Amino acid sequence: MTLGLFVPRESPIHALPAHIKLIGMAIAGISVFFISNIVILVAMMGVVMILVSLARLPRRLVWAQLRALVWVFAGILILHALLTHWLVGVVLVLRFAMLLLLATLVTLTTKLSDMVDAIERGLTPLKRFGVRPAQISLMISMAIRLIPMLLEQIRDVQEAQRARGVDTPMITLLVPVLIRVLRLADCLADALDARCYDADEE
Amino acid sequence: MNTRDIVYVAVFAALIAALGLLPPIPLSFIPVPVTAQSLGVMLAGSLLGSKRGGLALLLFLALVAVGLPILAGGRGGFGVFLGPSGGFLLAFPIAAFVIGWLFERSPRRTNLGLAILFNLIGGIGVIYLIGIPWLAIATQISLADAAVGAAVFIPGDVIKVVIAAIATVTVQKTYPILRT
Repeated sequence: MTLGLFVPRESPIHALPAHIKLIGMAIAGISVFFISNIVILVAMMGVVMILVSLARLPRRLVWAQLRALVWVFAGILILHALLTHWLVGVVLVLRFAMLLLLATLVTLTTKLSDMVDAIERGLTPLKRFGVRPAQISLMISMAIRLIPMLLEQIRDVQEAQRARGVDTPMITLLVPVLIRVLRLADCLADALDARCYDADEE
Repeated sequence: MNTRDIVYVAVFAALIAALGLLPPIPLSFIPVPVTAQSLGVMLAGSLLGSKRGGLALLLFLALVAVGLPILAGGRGGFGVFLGPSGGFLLAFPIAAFVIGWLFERSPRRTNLGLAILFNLIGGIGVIYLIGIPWLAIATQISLADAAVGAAVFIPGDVIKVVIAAIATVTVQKTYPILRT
């Protein structure tokens, strides 16, 4: 099973370092809320569309990330057309659509491991406040590895119950899954301890 | 945090992700399908306690942010936080923290009534208290309209509160992590 939304391509957007993309997105995300001029917003949307086309991503994948919100956008437009002024709705939808497109662009063009590395480096200045970046990236990588494993555990329990004629309502599924998961966690912790992992190591 | 805490946080973040990947359960008497993901919020708080539960949810949100499509419905990436329903997501860690905090102070951790009450406060109260104003501000509609819009999810959430409470009490009896 492959996790992650990254799409490998040769493009200037893919080549940008992860932290530049993340910082750029953060700046765009904040600044867009101070802009209500529709002409500027449309122009910014144009720039974002050009960036997306530069990345040469399959349209289908970009669309898949946006599809869920189309109805929300339609709702905002209708609500404001009826209650306030249709332009208010257009400005709101433009802002959201632009940020969403930009976020999708970053997500689809950045490798998961690069993103985790960028986060670890970004957290380094917080060391003096007791944040341990190495601990955080260990937790992130561990969780990513565990997701397919836990899905398997859930399926195991489902199959075992189906074999006994239980049609798995949530509650009978949850308890055995939780106990298996807790046991797994204890085993993992023992394994780390046995290998002298030091949680407080710098 | 010791090794065990780190592992518990990682394992629960992964569990919440796995719950979100399960197909949603359609219930005939509720208009919206019920997803198992917010169950994970309540379970993390109830079983891990305030600090570890809150951290597990923060880690889960970090995984969503770096682009894993693990939100119910297969969504992921930074975009989800910026949308109108971003507040409900950002409320997850706070909700888990509150539920854990209540459980830590509870005299009887295996009491079903108390477990339901704590999950109601954290899993519904806190999440809607943050999610609805966010929704109202993001879409510039009135608070009342936003609350009405969010109300369709309440019946499903109440069912999840009861399920989470029963599961917590049962697990707490067999495999207690929160010790006094």
